[in-house]
Amino acid sequence: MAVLARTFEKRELRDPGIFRAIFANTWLAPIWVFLRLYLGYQWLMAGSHKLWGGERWIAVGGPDGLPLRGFWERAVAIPEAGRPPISFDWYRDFLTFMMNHEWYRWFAWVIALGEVAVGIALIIGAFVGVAAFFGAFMNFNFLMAGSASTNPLLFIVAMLVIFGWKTAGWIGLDRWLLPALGTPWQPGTVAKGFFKRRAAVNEACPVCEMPVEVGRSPASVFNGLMYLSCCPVCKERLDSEPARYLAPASA
Amino acid sequence: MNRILLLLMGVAAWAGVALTAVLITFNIGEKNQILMFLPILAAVVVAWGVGELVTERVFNRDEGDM
Repeated sequence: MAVLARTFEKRELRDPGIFRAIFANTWLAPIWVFLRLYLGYQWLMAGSHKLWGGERWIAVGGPDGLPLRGFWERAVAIPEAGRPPISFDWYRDFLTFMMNHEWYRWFAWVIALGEVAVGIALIIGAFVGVAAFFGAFMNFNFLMAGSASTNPLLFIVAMLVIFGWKTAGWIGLDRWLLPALGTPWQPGTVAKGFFKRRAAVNEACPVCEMPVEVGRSPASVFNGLMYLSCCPVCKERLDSEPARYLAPASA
Repeated sequence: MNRILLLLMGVAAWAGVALTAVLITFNIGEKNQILMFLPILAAVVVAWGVGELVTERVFNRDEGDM
């Protein structure tokens, strides 16, 4: 039992300094902009080809998505010799199901508009982490369907942008969107009124007792109550050992 | 009113980036991708400048506020 308790006890393993310097420090924001723009540009280009180009997926005469159906047909085909494009039977069944139900008619729109939306979001730096996630998800599906093309490179860049989502959007709309709308662990200025009414907000930092301010100070939520820290360093300490710093206040 | 105007300028700058990217990608061929990429990069730099010089005043945040 002691072994289980030691293995599964709550213990936060902190990221090394080099990891935080690369993925969470704004000094590398210009590098992240280039990665983000490259990724966004590629998605916008891919989406425009599907909507507008000579090999577009929609409005080509006949039902929309015929080129997508052709792509699916090639993907699910099992050749007499050699390996099929799709390695997993469940994924082949999934594509076959969509093809038999003629889902390509509307799915072509979803893919084309999704690629354009991901491209624009990455270029203007709005919800970069979410946009990169959906971009990576599309890369994943193209790869699963046996289409390599640029997908492996774009997938790796998307994963890097997901890891560096905080700084990747620093030179972009996220710089204002995230503080305004907030993140899952820290309410933004829009949500501060809600939390002000709902939570017992402390007036001094639980770690160093410096004054804190709603909407500006980093916030943590424990047991449904929001606690503010004076700076990110104190927030890290509070998050790692909440019992140590909040115990005197709650006692 | 002034605050809203500053905010709208920032939003308009980034909307301009989106418009530039879409217009360039949808209307110009891709023979030289670097030449296509440069206007988008320039628009981002302009929007960033507007954000730093104009929109930042609306928020006037401290460091590490994300």
